[in-house]
Amino acid sequence: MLAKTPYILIASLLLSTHVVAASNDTADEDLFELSLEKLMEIEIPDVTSVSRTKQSVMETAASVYVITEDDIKRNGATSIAEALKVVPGMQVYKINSDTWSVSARGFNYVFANKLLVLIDGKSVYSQLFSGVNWSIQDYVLEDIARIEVIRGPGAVLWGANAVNGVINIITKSAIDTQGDFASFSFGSDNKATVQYRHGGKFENDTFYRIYAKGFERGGSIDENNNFNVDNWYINRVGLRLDRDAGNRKFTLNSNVFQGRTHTPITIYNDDLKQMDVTDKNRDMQGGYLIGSYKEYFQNGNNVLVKAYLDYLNDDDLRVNQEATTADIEIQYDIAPYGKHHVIWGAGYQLSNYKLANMAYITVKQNPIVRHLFSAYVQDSIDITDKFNFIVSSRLEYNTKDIEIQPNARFSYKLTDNSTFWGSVSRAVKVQGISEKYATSRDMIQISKDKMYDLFKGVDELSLMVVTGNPDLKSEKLLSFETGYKAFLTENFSIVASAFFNRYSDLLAYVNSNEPLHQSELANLETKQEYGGKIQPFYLYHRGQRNGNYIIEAITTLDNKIKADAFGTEITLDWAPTDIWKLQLSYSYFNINAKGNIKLVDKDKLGITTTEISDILFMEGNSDILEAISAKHAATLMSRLQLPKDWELDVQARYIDKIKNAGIDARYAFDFRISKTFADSLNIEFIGKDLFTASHYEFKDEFSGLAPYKVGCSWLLNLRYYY
Amino acid sequence: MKTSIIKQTILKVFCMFLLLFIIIKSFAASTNFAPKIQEAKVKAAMIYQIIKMINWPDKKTNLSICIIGEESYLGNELLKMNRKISEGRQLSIIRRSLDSPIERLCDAIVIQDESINHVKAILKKINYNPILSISDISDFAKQGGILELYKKGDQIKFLINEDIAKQTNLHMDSKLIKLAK
Repeated sequence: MLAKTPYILIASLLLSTHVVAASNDTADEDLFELSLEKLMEIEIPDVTSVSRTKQSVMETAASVYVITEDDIKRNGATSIAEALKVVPGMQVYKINSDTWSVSARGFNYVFANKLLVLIDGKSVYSQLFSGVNWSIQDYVLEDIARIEVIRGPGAVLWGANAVNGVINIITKSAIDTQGDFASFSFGSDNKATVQYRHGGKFENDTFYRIYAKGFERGGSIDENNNFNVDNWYINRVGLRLDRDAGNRKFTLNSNVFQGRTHTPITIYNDDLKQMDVTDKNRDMQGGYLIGSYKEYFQNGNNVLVKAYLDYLNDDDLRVNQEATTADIEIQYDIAPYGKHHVIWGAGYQLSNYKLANMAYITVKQNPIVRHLFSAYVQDSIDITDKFNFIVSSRLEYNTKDIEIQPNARFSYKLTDNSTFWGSVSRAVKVQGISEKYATSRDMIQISKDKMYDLFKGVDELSLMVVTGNPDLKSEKLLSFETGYKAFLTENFSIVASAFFNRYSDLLAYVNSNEPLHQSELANLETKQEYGGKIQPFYLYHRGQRNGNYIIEAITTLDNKIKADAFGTEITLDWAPTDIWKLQLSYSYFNINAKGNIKLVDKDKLGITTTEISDILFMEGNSDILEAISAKHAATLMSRLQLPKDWELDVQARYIDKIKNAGIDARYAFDFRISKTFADSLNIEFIGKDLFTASHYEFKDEFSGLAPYKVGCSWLLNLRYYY
Repeated sequence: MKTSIIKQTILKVFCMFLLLFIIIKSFAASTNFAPKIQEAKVKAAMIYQIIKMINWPDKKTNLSICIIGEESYLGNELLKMNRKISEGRQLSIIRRSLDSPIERLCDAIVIQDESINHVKAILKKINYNPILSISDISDFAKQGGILELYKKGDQIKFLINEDIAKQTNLHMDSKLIKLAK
């Protein structure tokens, strides 16, 4: 029973702030009326400023976090995946020494395929495994200009799979990397990393940089807290060209790499013994070429044409793949007309996958060719000075289905220094090759599931086979987002967003009723409490152990899960003094999932075992989704700029428990100390994951990748600019 | 009974957020926090006054001032000059990117901090054209820019590169030259 008084109080406060805001604007007008002499007499004391990049973040109607080049350096990141750890709302976990699980707003498991990742405009998402291979996404980190992370559907402008977010890695123009740079680092799990870059200029105002990078890493920790011998190395060279010719801009980006990893995989051999394979060579090589051309016309329009070619050869123990992708896009930006600013674009992508040496993973169709046509249009309308409304839509056609992804968003400038925004979008995740056509076997053990309690005479060891489903539909998302961004004082800013996501047709593992080659029907008796009925259940001829059947459950995928997810991300930036900057971020995430089948009362007799297993499967799937992401996460960063070019940076992280993976809540501390001599030689010493025992960051039951522990590590890095 | 407790809690939480929102909003509205923004406001006002004392050959009705590059405090303040009349000429302030044909579209350009590596290239583009180049990047005038704004102690001063100004046929009022430096 709240009294009326508080409401009146609140209403009057609201009114008063409006009045104050109005009077502030008249103060601006006065300055323009002052004479030049008077203006030159005004005193303005010196003060620190919040980073410039924050400006563009503050005005966009989306949940954006920009990782600047300074952030990458001061967070001590040694890879692009590691640089993403600090972004609130993202789940970035190191599974083993060369595998990362990276996602935004949940879904950080084998179907972690709802994130679009681009480097200089080229997608690095693999349609074969429906994910990103982070071990080969690398660059001379000091030549990355920034990494833009957009949480939430970014489908329209960015493209396919941008369901939960977009990561845009932007490297510096060759114009900004002139001169030479070399670095050398080594440490506890970073055995050695060497980087070299030379930037120069050709006669006709064409700038270039060539670079080379090589590293060897390893040192993950097994369950007995011993170091693994799973070292891996990758060598890379690249070239970038930039030509600025008045109203025409041309860029060429190229990169080739070769490396060998020992990605630890869990497999079950012929004796059905679990083996963690850590010494099988996984050779990878590839490269890409990206070209872009932009022209500005006299009437204010501009056009951008971009094309790229990407090749990858990956010799994994499970399957060898040769992937080639060609892509061409055009984007036309029409000069603002009245209140409208229209951008439209179209593109075509051709990808080809050739597979060989299929063991553990087999794909029915080979080679696989995919075509993707896309088109989009966006109109940004300045309804008033303060109110901007954007309506857009993307259309994709993959020779079978057409997907439409519309979006509407608005941003409203509450004051000079604060913006409120909101958005509604529909995004779609088209199924990848593995979901439709791949069968994986002898890689996944089903944990003692409720399902196997159904039967009598079943061994503890149960394996799971996943077969693809060529009739899969795309997964859908309807997303509502809102946010508030403000500079509360010169040195204090807040960026907050909240979202509600309604997913439908999400993938789930379901019972498959198609027998596999060499499957044998076994007659199993159900336990008395489930009616004691006997139903056929497909059993791979693996024999028995101690008189019990070893079951191989044959599953397939189907669009059978609905889920509602909601959460928030908040980042506070504060610079208490000239030399000290602090950032605190917090994220909350929650998801409720349920299977899209009718729930039957399990205790009733007369239910067939197939129905029970369907229900239990669904519950299992929903449980996984709900318990796979940590609910809370927080990061606190402190950066201190000391005299004589010393820097001292500290970071503290908290990640809540991940129930499904059996990982407890954990804390971690990183620190970094750095000294620069004469603006050209920099030495830094970094310690990570301190004051905490070796721990698993994530375990994924279905990908077949063996998880290893992450322990505290140290790194010494030398950089030389000349 | 249960539902009214839930309703009360929801109302309380809502009021708490509303209050928080108001506090944050009042902060943002009432504080004139920008020693950095204040600096940008003063610089923008100075640019406005300086332009009054400059004459372009053949320019009688409107002046187009291009802000090069992305968001900035100075840019945001300059946008407020849009549509003002300066000695009979209407000012039009617009953002342009580095690669647009500024030598044809602009009567004045404002180059911001982040384009510091591109200053030479930009000045070369507009060479000899009657375009007023303005910036607060240090040594801008030395590099060939016409109007440089700089901070001396706690006050803002400006520099005019008269040689370049003469080459471009821009006419500066003698009062302006006296106030410079």
